[in-house]
Amino acid sequence: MIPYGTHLLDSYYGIKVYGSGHVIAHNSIAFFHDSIGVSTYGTPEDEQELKAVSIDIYNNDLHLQVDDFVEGDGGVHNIRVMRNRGVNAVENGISAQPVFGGPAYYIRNIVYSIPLGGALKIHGSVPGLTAYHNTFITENNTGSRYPNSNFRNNLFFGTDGPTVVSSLHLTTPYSVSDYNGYRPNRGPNSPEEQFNLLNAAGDSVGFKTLKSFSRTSGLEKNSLTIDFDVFEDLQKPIHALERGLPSPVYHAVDLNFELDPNGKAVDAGVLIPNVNDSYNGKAPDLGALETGAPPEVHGARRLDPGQEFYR
Amino acid sequence: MHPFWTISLKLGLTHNLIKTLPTKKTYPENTMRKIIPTLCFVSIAIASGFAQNGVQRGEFIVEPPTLQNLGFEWYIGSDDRYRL
Repeated sequence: MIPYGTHLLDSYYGIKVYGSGHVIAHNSIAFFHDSIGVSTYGTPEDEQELKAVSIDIYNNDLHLQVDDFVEGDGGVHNIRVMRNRGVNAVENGISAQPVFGGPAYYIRNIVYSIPLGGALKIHGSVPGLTAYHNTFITENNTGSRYPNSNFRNNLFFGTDGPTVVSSLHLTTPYSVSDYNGYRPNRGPNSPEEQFNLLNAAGDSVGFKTLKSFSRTSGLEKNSLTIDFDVFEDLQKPIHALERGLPSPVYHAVDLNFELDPNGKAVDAGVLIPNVNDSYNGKAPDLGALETGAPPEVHGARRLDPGQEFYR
Repeated sequence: MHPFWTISLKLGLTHNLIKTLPTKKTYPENTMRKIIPTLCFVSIAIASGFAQNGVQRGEFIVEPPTLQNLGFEWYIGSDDRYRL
């Protein structure tokens, strides 16, 4: 484990907005409670001009947050969180706790190392969540119960924590989840049944394999069980096995999220018009980075991509 | 990724007003025999007149555009049986 200095929090949020039409792009943010968020005032006002709608959060580089990387909490419609990279957060990757009505779009985000946390915090029965082409290296995909959501072309990597990799607690039959890749948790305290859904009585039911989950639910028919060998060179983050114990801090410049051109995740996705039309090969790849595409710029432009921005 | 158009569809509910007959007043049996079929006919006629068999269009809102995206909100109503 590499020793890491202490950093005082200067503020709760790096960037916080409310209202409509905001663009939060190409920021490099470290050492806050939350990096970027929509302010959560509770139930939105009736006046259209006061609602938090049409907000873009993209290409930001986020490092070491106490809570979450991006919070859409308090947003109403058309919240777009795209192409952000977050490394080291304690609680969750991207939050919707709640988004009032949706849709909220989470597309091509990279999240790495959230010890004992999840990729997406979905609390308050949030409808209309759309997650496409994300690379989530956390413990699991979601939480809570919610309706009418859409998950495609994502990579979810469990990191062997005491939890399930997939919990699709969908409360209506109108959701879609397919063409995703899952790496189940295999730690000493990981549950044997790694894929959960709700049955007709509203109880959570677990399945050992993606195949058995798919057979019962009708979801994930084209999804894959994968492992870290789908990457060119990326290792599973090491996590403490209990909450409260320290885990290593990772640096984005040391991490390569590119896919192995010969791996299972390449050409394993589905075409989503207006999102991945310019794919290479026979079909879109799973995850945030398309093989052969120009490199993505995360954070402030004109910085040396090989040098950490925070030290 | 190309510029992105997003739209939020919101489902509104249609509320029907229902008038109830006075409950305390009593009617002779032969009068009731005439009233009940008449009420049934009138109810069906009114229901047919107000029934909606398609999606009902509501307010269309253009949200403030961002640098890359346009967002819209379109309120829609279902048919009377919520089949759509």
